Amino acid sequence: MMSAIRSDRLLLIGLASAALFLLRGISGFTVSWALLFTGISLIEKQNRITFISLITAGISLITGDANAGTALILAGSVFGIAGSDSLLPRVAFFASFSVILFEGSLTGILPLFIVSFPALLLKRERWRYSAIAGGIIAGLLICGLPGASAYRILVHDEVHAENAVIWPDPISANLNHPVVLLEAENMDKTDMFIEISAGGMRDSTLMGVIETGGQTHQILPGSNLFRIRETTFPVVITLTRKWQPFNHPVIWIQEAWTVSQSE
Amino acid sequence: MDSGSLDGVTIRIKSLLDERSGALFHIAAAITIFAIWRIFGMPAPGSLGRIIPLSWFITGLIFGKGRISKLSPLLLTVFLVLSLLWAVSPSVEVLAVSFGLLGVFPGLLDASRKQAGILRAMIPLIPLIFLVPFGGDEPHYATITEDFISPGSGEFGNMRHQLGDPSENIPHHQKLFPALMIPGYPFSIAGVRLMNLLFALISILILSGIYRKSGLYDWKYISVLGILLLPGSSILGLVFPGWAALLFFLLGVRMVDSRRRTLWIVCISFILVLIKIRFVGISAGLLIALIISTERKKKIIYSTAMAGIVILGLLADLILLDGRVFWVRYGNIEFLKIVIIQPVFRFPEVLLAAGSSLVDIESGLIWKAPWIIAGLAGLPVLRRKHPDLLLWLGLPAIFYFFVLIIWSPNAWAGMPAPSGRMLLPLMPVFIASLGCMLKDRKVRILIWLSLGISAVYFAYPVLRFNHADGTDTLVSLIGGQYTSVTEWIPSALRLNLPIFSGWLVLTGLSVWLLIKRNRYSTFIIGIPLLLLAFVSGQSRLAWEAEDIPTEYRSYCSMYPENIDIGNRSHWNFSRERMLVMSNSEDAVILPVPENHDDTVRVSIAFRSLQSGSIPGIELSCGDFRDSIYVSSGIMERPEWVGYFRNRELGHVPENLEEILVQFSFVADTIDIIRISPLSVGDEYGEGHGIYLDRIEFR
Repeated sequence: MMSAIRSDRLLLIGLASAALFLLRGISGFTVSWALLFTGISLIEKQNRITFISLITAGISLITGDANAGTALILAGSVFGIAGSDSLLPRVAFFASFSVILFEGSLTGILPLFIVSFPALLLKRERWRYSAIAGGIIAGLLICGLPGASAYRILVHDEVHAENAVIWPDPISANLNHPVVLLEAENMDKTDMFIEISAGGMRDSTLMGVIETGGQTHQILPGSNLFRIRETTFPVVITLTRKWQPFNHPVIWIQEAWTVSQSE
Repeated sequence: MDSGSLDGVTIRIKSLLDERSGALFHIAAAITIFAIWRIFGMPAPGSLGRIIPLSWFITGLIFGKGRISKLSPLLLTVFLVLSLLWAVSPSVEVLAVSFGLLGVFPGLLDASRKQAGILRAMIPLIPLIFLVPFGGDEPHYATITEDFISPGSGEFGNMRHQLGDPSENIPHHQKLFPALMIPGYPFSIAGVRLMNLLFALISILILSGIYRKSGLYDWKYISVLGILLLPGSSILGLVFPGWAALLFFLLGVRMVDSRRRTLWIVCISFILVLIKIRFVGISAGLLIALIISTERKKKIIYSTAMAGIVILGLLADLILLDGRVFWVRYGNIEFLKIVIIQPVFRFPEVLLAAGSSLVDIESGLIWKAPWIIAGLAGLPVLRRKHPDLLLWLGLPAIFYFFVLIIWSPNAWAGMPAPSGRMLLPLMPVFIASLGCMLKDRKVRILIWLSLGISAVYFAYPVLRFNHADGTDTLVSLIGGQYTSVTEWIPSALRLNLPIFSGWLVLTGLSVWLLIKRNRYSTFIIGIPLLLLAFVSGQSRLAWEAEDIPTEYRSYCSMYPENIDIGNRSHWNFSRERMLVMSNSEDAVILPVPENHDDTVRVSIAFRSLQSGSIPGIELSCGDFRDSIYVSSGIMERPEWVGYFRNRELGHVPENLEEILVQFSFVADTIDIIRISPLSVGDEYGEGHGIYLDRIEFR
């Protein structure tokens, strides 16, 4: 089989991988990317789906968000397994998927991984697509929506004004960035106000929490103005709701500001 | 019912399904996307989650007979897979949604080839226009429209005075364009926007007529490409004069074969100037094309007559209209000075503006519409096959472009209004040349890349708006705050000459390779792009101070506070924003890059404005602490500034000399540095403090 692989493609794979490892070091991300690129390069009859794999591979390198990069490699591998015409590239795509799974930055992808193995052995493209669709549905039912194992934390932009600190712009927490941090140096033990709107749910139970020092405040759906006494920074606002179909949980921090004790 | 009639019904249903499979597919896809959006819990279910399925649904309704477009199922599949991963990261969410919208485009392009194809292709885009916030110049134009009907009623916020107006009573916007929107006024924002959509629709219809008459292959298809290939269709349906001007420009070109073409072109040239003075370039191009294409004997008569008409027009403006069109704005010595000074004394800036239109990350077309490479490569073919098209569409475009960059090399792009809008008059000629290159596979890849970028801008219109601060909103969103990609891509504002010229060379090389149809062009272009992607993921060694994310700053503020380029457009030197440390609690806390040597060197470029005792800057890392007290002098005034005003430069941060200090220390276990100001605080005078520009690790 190896003799069938054109030498120029091997050279391309080798050079690209070497350049990647040299410039970015060896990690789960770079190894999975190199395997994805190997899969793409080994495809004999390039078609549209493999072009999509190339696009996701390209964007995964540009993005500075490691989770996004890994997710895009995963998407590229899945397209590759479904769309490539011969076994060898499909094996490379599966190997790329395996590295992502063991690297552990994404959750909820195990059922899809398990289904991908028999899928890569199937000759008919239609069956491979069906198997992967089955894997996606099984994954949703068993593990829920795939997500990042480490939360992306947004630090909100603060402005110093006279003796107070304000966070004037709205910022939201949702399932892809569930934690917002409010930081203010040398402002401990002041009181603060946080104006919050939460919603997107079909019930009125707990949406999230505000944590500061030892205090915890619950966020319920609707608009609320929280007064937090003797704040200890950072203030952590977390969306605690998990994925559920037909729900779009979101917490909007509309505005926040500290007040001096005398006010 | 007997079995015969049952068979008949079955056959009819089958043939209906077969004939209308394209339409049915789009409707089924609309339902699927609507459902998936809700099942996966994607954000904005009330706006994007409805409008994108609605676009698919309308495409299904207007599709008519025909099979499923080849790419649509593929793009739908990509949406389904990426939407499954949306919760991983905001970048994946943006990509998923954009692919969801991109899936509509093959259907639109297929529909464009049918009867009333251009109309069919535009209707599904209408709902997307309402995702764009009503802002920028839109309320200003709409207020002028309102003044014709119901002055002061405040429907559009009564936005009157604006930066750049000659006086309180005379806005710098002219009145013809707002007057054209009067029929839409009763329907408020939707009405004035729909009028502009109408201008765009008529423009594209005229353009397709021009292409058809010239015998351009697949003329309807490439006309629709013309709409879709502008980044996010730029200002399609928004209250900006670009499409109205394009309409008149194309009408002029359409009338080239009529018996009264001279009259038409002269009238249209005047109308273009009345819409917006900057379109004078199109007028000049049209008139010169007219002179070129007339018989030799008439050339002198025409030239003299046109010069006479221009003089008469200027006199009419002065006497009848109190100079409101030209004289109050441009009929003064200051304007004349600009016209002379820009190309003579500021030639490098004019040249930079021309280069920026291609490669600048905020306003350059190769990033937002990479098809422009094929558009440039197709020009020789267009010249060979359709010389008239090149003359009538190309000459006005060239003149317009020169007027734009010579007039305003610092702000030609019109930021923060949507990128690409200023280059709208260049679209017809480049789309025509693209039409000559369509059969090349590499060109098709460029087209689909551009359509993908366009889909992002359609779905997230806020990404179209850049603020001339050296960063692009889309790249910042996809790349994130920590990527070093911004160090490697060109920006006219943060000029790095080797990088800027390197990208210009690469663009030129790409165009040349496409012209030559070189078989290795993919590799030659692909390798630098791949290397760029590789290096962009390395940990950052340099930070532009204004890009430092919130988590690496304690307080600090920006100078100027308002991001609008209007506050910086008259700065004489760099127009970059700066990070201000004017309070003792302000600080920058940066991680030391991995794999550093034992000795870390940190260079800090800043300006120090003294208004009291001399401010200082301190760097600390663990036990290491070093500081310097220094004050910046005022820079020497550029020669050309003296031609405008004799005032000395003010003691403000943008006029101060930059100071570069370097700290060296041995980093052991501590892997963060803290940069903070000294001798600053409220007790000092206005503006007193440190204005950070750039921090570099070596």
